[in-house]
This record gives sequence, C-alpha cells and structure tokens, in this order.
Amino acid sequence: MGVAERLSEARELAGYSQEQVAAALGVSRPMVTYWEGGSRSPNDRQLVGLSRLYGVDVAALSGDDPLERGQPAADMMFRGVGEEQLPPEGRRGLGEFVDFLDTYARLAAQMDFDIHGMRQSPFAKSSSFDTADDARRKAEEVRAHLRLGLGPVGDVDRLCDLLGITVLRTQLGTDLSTTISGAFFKHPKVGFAILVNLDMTPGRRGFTVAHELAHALFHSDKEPYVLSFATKDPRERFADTFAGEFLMPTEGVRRVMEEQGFGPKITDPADVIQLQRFYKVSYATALVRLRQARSIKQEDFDRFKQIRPVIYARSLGYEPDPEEFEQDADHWRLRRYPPRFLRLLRLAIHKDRVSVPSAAKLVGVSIDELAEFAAAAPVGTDEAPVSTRELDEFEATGVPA
Amino acid sequence: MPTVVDTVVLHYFLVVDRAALLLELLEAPVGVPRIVFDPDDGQADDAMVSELRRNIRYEQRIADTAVPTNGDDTTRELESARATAQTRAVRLRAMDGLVTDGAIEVIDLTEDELDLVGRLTAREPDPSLGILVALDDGEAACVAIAVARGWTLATDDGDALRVLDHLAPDHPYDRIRRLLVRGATDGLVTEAEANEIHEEMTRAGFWDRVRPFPER
Repeated sequence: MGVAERLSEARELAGYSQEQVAAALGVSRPMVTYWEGGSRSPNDRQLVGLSRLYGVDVAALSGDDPLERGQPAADMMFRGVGEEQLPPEGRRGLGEFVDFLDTYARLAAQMDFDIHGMRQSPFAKSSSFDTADDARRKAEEVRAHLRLGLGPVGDVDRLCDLLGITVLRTQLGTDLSTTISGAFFKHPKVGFAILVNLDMTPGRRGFTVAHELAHALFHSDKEPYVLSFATKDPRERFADTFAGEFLMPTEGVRRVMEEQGFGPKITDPADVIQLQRFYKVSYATALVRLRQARSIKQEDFDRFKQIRPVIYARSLGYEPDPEEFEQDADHWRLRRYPPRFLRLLRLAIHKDRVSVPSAAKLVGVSIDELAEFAAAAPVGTDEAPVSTRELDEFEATGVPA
Repeated sequence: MPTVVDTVVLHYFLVVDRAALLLELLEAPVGVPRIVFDPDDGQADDAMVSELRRNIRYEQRIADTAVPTNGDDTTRELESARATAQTRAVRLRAMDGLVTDGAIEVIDLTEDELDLVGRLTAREPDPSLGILVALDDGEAACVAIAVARGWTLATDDGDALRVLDHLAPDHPYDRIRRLLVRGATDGLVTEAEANEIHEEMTRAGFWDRVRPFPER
C-alpha cells in the first residue's frame, strides 16, 4: 500500500472528513485530495501533523508498518460503542487516554515508581447497582467509608488521587449528544483510570469525575471500561444520581438549609451561592441538585438560571474561584494530568532519564513551559517562606507540632 | 561539515537575541528540518505547526492575555510576564527573516530519514535506542539528518544525544554551553558575556545549571 492510500485509509479510520483535515493543517481541501490521490505529497511537518491527528505513528503513514492504531485497549472501546457513534475528536481523545496510560505504566516500570493504582473496588460486589435508590445508598456508603459525613467532598480530583484512581482530562468534543462526557477504564497496569471531557464547562467536569467514580467503584467488577454517553442506560442514571448525592448529599443540604433558616424552599439565589460555596461545586451543579431534591420551585429555578454566578458571588463578598470561569481547554495544559504522573515525570527529568524536550512532547506543551515545571524545586527556591512563618505562628500560639 | 540545529538551541539563542552569534559558531550551511521550522505553516492549528512556530504562538498568547487593572502586585507580575512574552515572541519571529535571507536552510527529509524519524518517535520506543519515551519530532528529524548526511548535530536534548550515541557513536555534536565556551575561545564574546548569555537563557527556561565559565 502506498503513502497516498495509507493517508486516505488512516483518515477514514480516524473519522475525519477531508475538509476537517484541511482546516487543521491550514491547507486547502483539494490539497488533501491531491495527497490522497498521490499527485502531491505532504511535507515532513504535515506528515507528522497527520500522524498526530489520526492517532497513528509516523511509520504507519510513511513506511511499511501495518496501518493500525496499535492500541488494543482503545480499539476494544471503539468496537464497544461502534466507531461511527463517536465523533473524531472523541476517538482521538480516547486514543490519547489509552496512550497516556500505557506510557505512564511503562515509565513507572522503568523508573521503579509505584503508581499505587486501585485495582479492585472496596465496594463492588457481584450484584448490579443500577437504580436511583441504590445510587443514593452507595453514595452514603462511600461518604461514610471516606469519613466525609454530610460535609463537602472538596477537590474530587485530589480525592481520586488519594484513592489511587488516575484522572486525565482531554478534549473529546463539545456536542454531548454525540460524544462522551467521560470514561472509566481498568488499565491492566495503571489500575482504575478516569477520563474527563475537557471541552465541557468546568463545573460539569467536576460532576463527571464523581460520575466516573461511580463506575469505578460499582461497575468495575463486571466492566473493564465504561464510556459515558448521554443515554437512559440504567448504569448511567445510577452514576448521575451517585455523583449528585456524593457531591451534595440530600440530607446534608436539608440540614444546612434548616440551620441557615432558608425555609423549606430556596427563594433567594444568594442561598444557592452559599450552598454552592460550602459544597465546592459549580453554581449550575448546585442548582440542578437543589431542583432534584425539590428544594427549589420550577419558577425560581428558571429565574436563578439567569443569574451570573461569578459576579453575583463577588457582590456577596466571595472571591471568584478561577475554576468557575468558562476556561478553554488550553488553560489546563499540564494540570490536566494527574499529580502522581507529574511527580514521576519530574523525577525522570531530574534523574536525567527523560529529556525536557521529550517530556514536553509527551505532555503536549512547549519546551519553555515544561522547563519551568521541571525547574520548580520543593526547597531552596526564591519563594517567600510563608510556611516557616506560619509554623512560627503555631509555635507562638502554643499549638504543638 | 554542515550543521543541523534543533529547536532547543535555536529557541534559546533567539530569545536572548543572539541568533547572529549562533550562526557564527555553527559550521555553515546551517539547516533545520521543516518540523522544527516551516515558514509556510501560519494557517495550521497549534498542534500541526512547526515547533518554533508553536513556541512563538505560546509567547504571543501570554503577551495577549488581558491583565486586570487594579494595580496590585498580581497585576504588576502579569504585566511584566506579558511584556517579557511579547519581547520573546518578537525575537523568535526573527526566524522568518533568517530563512528568507538564506542564513538558515529549511530541509525536507528523504524517505530513509523519514523512516528513522518514524522509529524514533514511535509510541513505544525501541529499547535498543536507550530512551524511555519517544523522541520529540523535531529532535528525531535532526538526529535522522545528522546520521544520514553526516552533519554535526546541534542540540541540548539529552535523549537526542543518547540516541545519537546509539546510532552513530562519536558522531560530532554541539551543545549550548559548549558553543558559548567556543564563542569565548574564538573571541566572539568574552567569558563574562558567555556567562551572561547562559544566565539569560536559564532565566528564559533553559535547564542547564552549569555556567560556561564557572570559575568566573
């Protein structure tokens, strides 16, 4: 098979139209036709770009290697949903997820680094959990297991990190009627892993982590992976209900409302902001949860939807939370990787096992950005020693260390 | 012997505005693979452009970031970062002129070189190459050119040098610090200037912590 035919086949496998490829590479649509017809050839830079876009190695486009993704796990997931159901950006993101996990596992093995990945849920049993009542009960059970009581979960990403669940965020597309909001995958070496669609709003991303956590904890004994589409699948409903209850437990909300004197129904959007801030969820998540718990009337729900929460919260004396802004995917860059992986990467750079440019390519950031990340040292920096001052304050006020 | 120069070396000499010094230090002709710099990639997405173009866009994005105007320390820091990024973006754009003037030649890979790039950038690197993760595309292209054409490789990527050592032991190469030392030896800069240039590069993110003339 010649390069031209390979280009055409790889594009079709990846699910891109010639127009989409042309737009990504900044060439005309006829140029892509010429490449695939063999009358012209892409230059080296374009060929490398095409390999990245199609999720295949350069050798698969230019050489004699068989044209396949080379990712059995990703292929298994693609087959599971039927490739035609997932848009190209979804397929690319899913491929990137599996690629990342394979690389993480390989690098950890070479560096003798323990990922501490969760491999078996402390909760999952052989019976299936798929009703709303199951979900609420299980959310309470997990909260109790984690000693969270009825209070806020805090940072759900960090919680997953502590549990040994790897969370990666990547772009999977904005149209949630066709693409996935996230995925769960039981990687043979890394353990439980969660993928979150970075193209969603920041608040929805947090909800998705909790949603995928439900799949990890309660569906992993039967399923090696779950792709979260917007369906009426009972498993998905279970995970949605779990996520809502886990992030904002009904009983906890009821108690806060009672203690704060909000009354049986919330009629002031400032109360929604207060609850949202307390539970560290987005305004929209809080609104949806309160509606689910029938703590807001429909007309108030519709009215509260018109509020601009960041500005309103500021007027109430709350500092804006950067996570609340509509951040584009670019904002995340290195932060979309799990902290444990970043620790491993920094270690590999410091031990001169991986070079800065190779690491930059691995995580898809510029060399400058990666060099800045790698240079950050835990001690001996120019940063003001606030922690020392704070420790002195503890000592001065008689708090024993 | 001609030299093929990679993104790291070009990037740091450009951001400290010392491209002319670099060209004096390297043996001519000086080439860059199109993956490192392509003068015609302005319309492509960020992920599809050449590496130096991506760096230019990164700096420009910081430079264009809106800064709040409440005059506090954070504002001043952001304003300073924005100004630095703007300067760097302008300096990096000098690459276009260097290519137009013919000081640096953009090189297209041969089929054999492209095959080697494929091997060096494969998801799972060949264990015999001595690297844990795939080589960056630009570095891989530079190594391929250096090995196939017998050119000197100018890089500061440890992984690229590891691969070069596996593929062609004793192949000639240059690193930034070595180039600066040569600059002082050849009288193009003083030892103090070489140290200053190196320091400015490290402020811009270059990771080498050993100065060209540590005793000074």
